[in-house]
Amino acid sequence: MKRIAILAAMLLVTIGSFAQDGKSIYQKFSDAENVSAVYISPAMFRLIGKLPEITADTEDGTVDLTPVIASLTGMYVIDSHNQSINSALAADVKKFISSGKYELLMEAKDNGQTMRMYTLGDEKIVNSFVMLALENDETTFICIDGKMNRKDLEKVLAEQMK
Amino acid sequence: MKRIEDIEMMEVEDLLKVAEDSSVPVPKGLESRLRETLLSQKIAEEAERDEVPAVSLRTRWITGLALAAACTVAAVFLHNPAQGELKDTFDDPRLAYAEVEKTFERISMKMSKASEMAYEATNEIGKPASIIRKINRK
Repeated sequence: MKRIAILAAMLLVTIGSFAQDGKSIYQKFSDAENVSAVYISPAMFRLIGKLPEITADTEDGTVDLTPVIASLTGMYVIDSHNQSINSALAADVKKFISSGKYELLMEAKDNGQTMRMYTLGDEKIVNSFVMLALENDETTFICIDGKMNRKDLEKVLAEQMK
Repeated sequence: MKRIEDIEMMEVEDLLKVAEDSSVPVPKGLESRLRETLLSQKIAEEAERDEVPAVSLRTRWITGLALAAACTVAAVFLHNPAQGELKDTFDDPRLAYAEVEKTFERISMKMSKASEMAYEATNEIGKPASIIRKINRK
């Protein structure tokens, strides 16, 4: 009996330690009702990298997106208007974040709406970027994997903000 | 006095007759000796039943670990039911690129909103300092 209890405890610990990732979250929620989902594979990113005109127009001119795009290996976007899964989606993302070594980049709360951004990597390279936005009836999860140069990523995001 | 071989050769009916014959003396302490013999036999049987050979214990552990491994594998599959490769949302790289750009814009928009909030908060924080400065001038 004691051995069975030990084995059951080991099993529960093992199940609990299974790390969620962007892919598993996408697989779990992408087919639900009132959910729009986008997945871009590494192969598609390689194809995008071959396009000639990967630039973004800004007030000061154009920003070359090629280095960032070329370094991406996967993108998962889940946009849910389904109230019955929103809390489960948020819980899974939180579990995913806490299971990895993600660092909170930014958090903003306004009128019951919360937005959090996390990055995984070091000072120079970002291996994964995650955004979770909890709004009144909408939950958005964005996960971008790759080997992005932190400065290039910040530059692209800053230019798009203008 | 009969020998054991003779007793073993006797029929059951003869044995019963002898047992019922009250004239035959019962050896002293026979009953207690019989009780002790039966008790020791019972204890020996129980000890034999409880005794687990080393090989059997190892086998049990191996079985247990195999069971745990099987349960773990099953749990992995239950946890991530769809293990197959994902299908790209777009077939055209231009459309995919447009979506990537749109996603970056969404992220930037959220960052921008957060920055605005931080700016407003900074202004609010600056108000008391400005009041204090004005008071000090007077």
